[in-house]
Amino acid sequence: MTFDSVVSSLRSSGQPFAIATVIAVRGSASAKPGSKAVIDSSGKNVFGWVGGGCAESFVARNAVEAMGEGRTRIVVADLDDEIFGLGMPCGGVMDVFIDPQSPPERVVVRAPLEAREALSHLGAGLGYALEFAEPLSSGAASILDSISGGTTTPAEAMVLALARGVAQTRGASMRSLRETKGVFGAGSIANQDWISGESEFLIMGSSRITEELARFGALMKWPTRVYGWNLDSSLYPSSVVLQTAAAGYADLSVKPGTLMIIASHHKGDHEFIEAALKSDANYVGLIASEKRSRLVFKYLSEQGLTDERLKRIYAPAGLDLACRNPSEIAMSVVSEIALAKKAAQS
Amino acid sequence: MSDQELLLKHARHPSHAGDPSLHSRVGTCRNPLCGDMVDVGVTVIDGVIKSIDIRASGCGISTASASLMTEVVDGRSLEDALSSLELFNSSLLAPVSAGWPEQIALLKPFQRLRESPTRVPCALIGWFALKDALAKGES
Repeated sequence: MTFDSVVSSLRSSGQPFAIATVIAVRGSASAKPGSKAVIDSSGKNVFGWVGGGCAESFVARNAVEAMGEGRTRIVVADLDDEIFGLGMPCGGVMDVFIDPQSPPERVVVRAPLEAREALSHLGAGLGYALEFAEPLSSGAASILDSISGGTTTPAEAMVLALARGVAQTRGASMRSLRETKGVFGAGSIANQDWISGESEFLIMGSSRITEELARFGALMKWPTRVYGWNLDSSLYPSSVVLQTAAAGYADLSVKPGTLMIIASHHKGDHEFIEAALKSDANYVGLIASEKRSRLVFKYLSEQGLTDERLKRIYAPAGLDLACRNPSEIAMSVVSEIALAKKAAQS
Repeated sequence: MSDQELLLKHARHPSHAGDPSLHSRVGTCRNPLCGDMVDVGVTVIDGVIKSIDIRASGCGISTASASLMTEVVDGRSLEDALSSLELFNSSLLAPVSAGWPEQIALLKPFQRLRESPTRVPCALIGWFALKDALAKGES
């Protein structure tokens, strides 16, 4: 029995479990940094060691709570104070990182029969266990709503339906983040002319997020290009064009109607946005925190960009899906683009 | 003597340490996660606990709590004993800043466990063993 085999077996069983790892020890403790234990949903240590007795019980109890909350936690095990610590006067203090491993998240989506197989495949690839409600039941996302707009492709409708299901499952608003966290807030978004025809999906940067954005671009059948550095073709769909940026971004070209998403973690933010706005991009999004979005807007404003121009920028980019990983960030961005396109064309 | 010293004294030398099986009512409680265990034996006459013995093995808190429990309930009615358990339980789970009830003043040294909620079960093992003994009735 190995750590990997135990984890793999628990994962296949669909039961929640947690991995506890000792990340620091001060003083004396029987477990050492890097020691791991696997704890099942009942709190039983099924593999490994992070200390015995009260320390094990303490970690197990915290692991069960962390599984219930679905959140990681770091706990401090006091092995110094026999009475008010953990009852074991070993003479040290141990920090333990507890990482709950949940079964796939259950997401309810309302979709017609013919779309369910493709949606199931997409959902499974993103780590969800999809359930399909009847089209007219309340509280579930509907792919029919998305299709009814007339300008949305089946792939876009499918991603929108999944995004709605995820948002509803988590109680997220699915509102554009620039409305809730952006510089200009709700109600001050510029009306935008949308250049019709095939738009290039231009992804700026190089990271796990750009890989996921490219995957969604290919799924949407949008002509997709990644402009970045250290681009590894094995990590991108074959239909995606990869362009390594030249010094000073001298080789950057942006076509009118482009859908540009900037995921470069601050490198080139200003240059990319200015290039996009000059070229009449249909969508300019910046994946950034609220704070960094404000900093970029301040800089661009100082460079002479008017508020009317700045209001065309989606920052922070994406919809509120309570995103937890790069795949979901990418899904939130392409969903925002699909909705913006639908709104501009309808 | 500080709270810590008092509890350590009870953990090292518990009151009423003896053979629970000699009593007519015997109860037990185990924490399978950490191995703490307490057995309690009580003799009840006319609804009053006339004598009590415990056998405890576990962490300092579980042993000290079982020890102090015997001092609280010895000579008290069954109703008083069970209400002390309820009061102790709710007091441990109360906010850190809440006061400590006068009826269980002897148990006030455990008040600091409010800051370490994962150790509250340790303090209740002896009490649950007592409850088990009282629920079983005469053997």
